[in-house]
Amino acid sequence: MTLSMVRSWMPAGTIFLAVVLQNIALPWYFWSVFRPDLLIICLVYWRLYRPDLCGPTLAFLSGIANDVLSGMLLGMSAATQLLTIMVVGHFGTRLRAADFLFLPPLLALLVGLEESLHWVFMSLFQSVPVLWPLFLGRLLATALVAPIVVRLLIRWHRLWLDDLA
Amino acid sequence: MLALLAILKQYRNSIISFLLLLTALFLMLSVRTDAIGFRMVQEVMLDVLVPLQKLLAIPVRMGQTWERRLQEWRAIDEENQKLRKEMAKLRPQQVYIEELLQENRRLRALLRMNVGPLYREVAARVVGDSSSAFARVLAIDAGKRDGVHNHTPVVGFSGLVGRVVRVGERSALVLTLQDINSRIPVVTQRSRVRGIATGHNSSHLVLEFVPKDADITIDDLVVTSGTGGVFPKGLIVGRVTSISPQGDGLFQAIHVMPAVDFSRIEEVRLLLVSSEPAGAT
Repeated sequence: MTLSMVRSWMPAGTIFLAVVLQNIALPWYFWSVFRPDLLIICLVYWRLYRPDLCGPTLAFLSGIANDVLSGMLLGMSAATQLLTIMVVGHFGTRLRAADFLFLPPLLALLVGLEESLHWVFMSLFQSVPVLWPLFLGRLLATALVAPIVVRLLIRWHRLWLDDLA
Repeated sequence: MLALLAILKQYRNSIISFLLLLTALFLMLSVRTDAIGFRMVQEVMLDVLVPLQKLLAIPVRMGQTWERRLQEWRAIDEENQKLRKEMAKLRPQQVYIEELLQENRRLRALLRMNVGPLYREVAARVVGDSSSAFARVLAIDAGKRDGVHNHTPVVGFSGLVGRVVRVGERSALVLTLQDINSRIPVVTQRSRVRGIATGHNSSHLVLEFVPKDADITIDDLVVTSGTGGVFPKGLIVGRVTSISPQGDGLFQAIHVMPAVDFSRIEEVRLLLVSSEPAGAT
């Protein structure tokens, strides 16, 4: 009983781990440009394959945690993560049936949408220049890292959650 | 009533999503994030997440330390061979060198000035870095427990890094000079021209409100002016890299390269207002 409860929290655990990891300080310049959006990868994966364990509340809280750690406007990431899982939930059946090859461009597209929404929200308060190297770097890094992270998530999913109804 | 409940149950997820989306928009648009309740929630989250970041960065730091140590060993070995040869040549000058060393020590002691008697320093490690297109904030592992509070100035080895904007018990967020919300009153060291160094989320700062006829040249050192009451006077901010007059405007557009390399920053010092009287030991 307790073990199955702990296991059902695994998606939340991986999502918050992603938030912490993507905001970590590493002493390499490439990390500040090619920083993958691990949060969106985890959210999309769990929303597609375990929507019962990854609902809007989890997306909202992970977004708030991301806002606090990254120093962004409180609520901005929360809103974009919510919109992301709403989009993913809407096209869930079609996305689950899609080939694995579509994963990197799909995630790059979602990150692009998320960053664009951030820019729109920020522009409501002040004029913000778009830093294209960082914008495109995040897209590219997410697309490149996505297959590896998804493989890991599939492995954990099969190991811990396959027999959990 | 039952029909309403059935509808609510059927669209539960959509209703929750909609309400949470409204909450997020409400947080963004109307809530002051420095309100006590929100500040406490943020501080608790910082205190939970930052130590986790610190833990996850341990393998990277260990790897780096070993890499550095190996390089140092190699360098030391090479240097050792060189020094052995040089020592044979330099032995007659040993006394003269000893004199120079002593003089050097005295001069170093003379030059080792504190930022000011009102400040004491606390070192902290950078554990979080959110270099995104929209924010330039660092997370550090010092907080209220170490005497850090909002607006505490933060410096690196080569100059000013920024100021603290959120403090947890053991962690804090530092708004760097490059962040779009950063405004720092500065003065050029040579000609004492005042201006405001503003961040634009890019590698350069812009020096604003400098009149067109002001005496500023490329490579001028820019330091904090001490006005505004947040930063002490004389902290190095950076050097002027470009100057261009702005058409018919009153001011010039001046770019300043920060003295601190933000992509490589690992440790910082926080300048805390000392409670001891000036000159006390």
